[in-house]
Amino acid sequence: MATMTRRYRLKATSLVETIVALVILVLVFSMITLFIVSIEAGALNSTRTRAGNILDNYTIRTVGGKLYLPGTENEGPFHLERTVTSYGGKDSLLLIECRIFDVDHVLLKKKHILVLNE
Amino acid sequence: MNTRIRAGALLATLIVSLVAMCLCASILLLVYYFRMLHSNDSMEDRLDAELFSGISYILGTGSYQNAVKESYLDIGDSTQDTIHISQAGWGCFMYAMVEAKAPRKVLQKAILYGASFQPQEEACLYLTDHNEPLALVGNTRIGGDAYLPRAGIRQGYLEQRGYAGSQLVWGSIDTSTKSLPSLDNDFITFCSSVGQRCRDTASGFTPIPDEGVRTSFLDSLQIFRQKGDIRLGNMAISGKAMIISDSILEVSSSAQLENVILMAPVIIFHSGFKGNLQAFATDSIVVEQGCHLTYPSALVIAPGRDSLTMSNLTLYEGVTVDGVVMALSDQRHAYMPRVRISEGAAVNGWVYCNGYCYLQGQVTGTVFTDYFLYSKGPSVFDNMLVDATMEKADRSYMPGLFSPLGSANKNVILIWLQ
Repeated sequence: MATMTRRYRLKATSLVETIVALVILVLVFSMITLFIVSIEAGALNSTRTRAGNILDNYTIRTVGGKLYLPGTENEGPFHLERTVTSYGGKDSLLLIECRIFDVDHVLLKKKHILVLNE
Repeated sequence: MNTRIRAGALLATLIVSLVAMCLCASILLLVYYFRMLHSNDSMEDRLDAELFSGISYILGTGSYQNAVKESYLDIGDSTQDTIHISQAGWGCFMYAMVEAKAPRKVLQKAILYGASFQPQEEACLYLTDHNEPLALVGNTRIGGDAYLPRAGIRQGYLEQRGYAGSQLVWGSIDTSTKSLPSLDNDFITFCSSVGQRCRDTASGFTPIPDEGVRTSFLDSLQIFRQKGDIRLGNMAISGKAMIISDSILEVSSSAQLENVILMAPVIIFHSGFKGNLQAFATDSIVVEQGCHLTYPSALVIAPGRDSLTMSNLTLYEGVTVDGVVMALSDQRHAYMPRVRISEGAAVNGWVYCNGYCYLQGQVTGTVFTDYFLYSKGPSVFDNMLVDATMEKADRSYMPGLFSPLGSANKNVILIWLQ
């Protein structure tokens, strides 16, 4: 019995072991902190992603509903704008530019689409 | 026997660290995967929008043209993407390929399109003014607006039969001019080249493979030219292919044709054929009983300058053509072409006859003709319609009707090819 207990016991010099363990812990937790910070920083991307989705829907609504007039709209914390110009001097074609801004009126994304003037 | 593992701080730390690292790594992988997915999705959305823009550009610009036109579209969305447009005539219609290209992805679409409707095509009849009135006999029906000669329209009487309808025209009447509305010049040039293409031996001969041909509209044009008669049967030919004969081209009911162009002096469709094609002949086109040429098909008589015979386009009983029936004549040509639409035959689309139209069947769409003729035995009657039906096209049912008339500034999609 005593032999078996001895076999499973890990021997270490307690001071060295503790120091190494502490170093590993510090390293791992700093990495985790960096990781969390990086994910948090990605929150901006999630805002951009959401803005992108809203802008896509806005563009689809514009084209589907043939809303070929300039306009603005607010959706949640975002502000949407639509400008319409003729394309290449042709009356039959309209270039629609849809833009989305955040609360500070910083441009997050814009999208252009060419449509038939019907 | 109790086994006790005694561990120091190092082992416990290593295990905890390992678990924490694994968790972090898997979350990192997950985040990376979702970002990649989102990036791909947004790229596809962007390319889709660019394809849409390219197609809008095609529909909003230009008219019929034979030569291939290559262009790049800049809508200012992404400097990395390119929108490449390639357009060219395909028989009566035009085809276009739009390619939206991002650094790691390419989306392509091909369409067949034509010019959108002109005001005259809202009517169901346009009869050129040759100072002769139009006479209606029997169960003739003009179910829409009509452009008629100044001499007007009246009830006729033939073999003890009068006009059975309660009114002559079921729509408004306008005055026609001395000639038919003109076709697009480039399209006329294409039609004029049919005779020369049929006789062309300098380009050599390429036989049609026995197993048939399937080509994509995104690839280059394939021309199969044979000397002498060609009989198409038990084979499938589809896509951007042209079959040319210098003699007779026969299409049997077992042939499967899709979107191809046929050219020959004489083209015969045997009973029961069903397919989608454009046929250009210089002398005659015969469509036998029960054939169905599906949308968008075209039958065109395009006589050459040196043709010494009267060209004929005949649709027998039970034939349905969803598309265009056209007979053109060169002004220097001695004889005007004849289009015969027999009783029980139907055209859903367009009839454009630069000559004499024998109409006894039904046209749902528009008939443009210089003259109507009706023959009974040895007698032939000018501008007489007996038991013919012309109905205005229901554009909600046939939204892709097009116009080969010139001066159209917008186009419509006929079919999506790819």
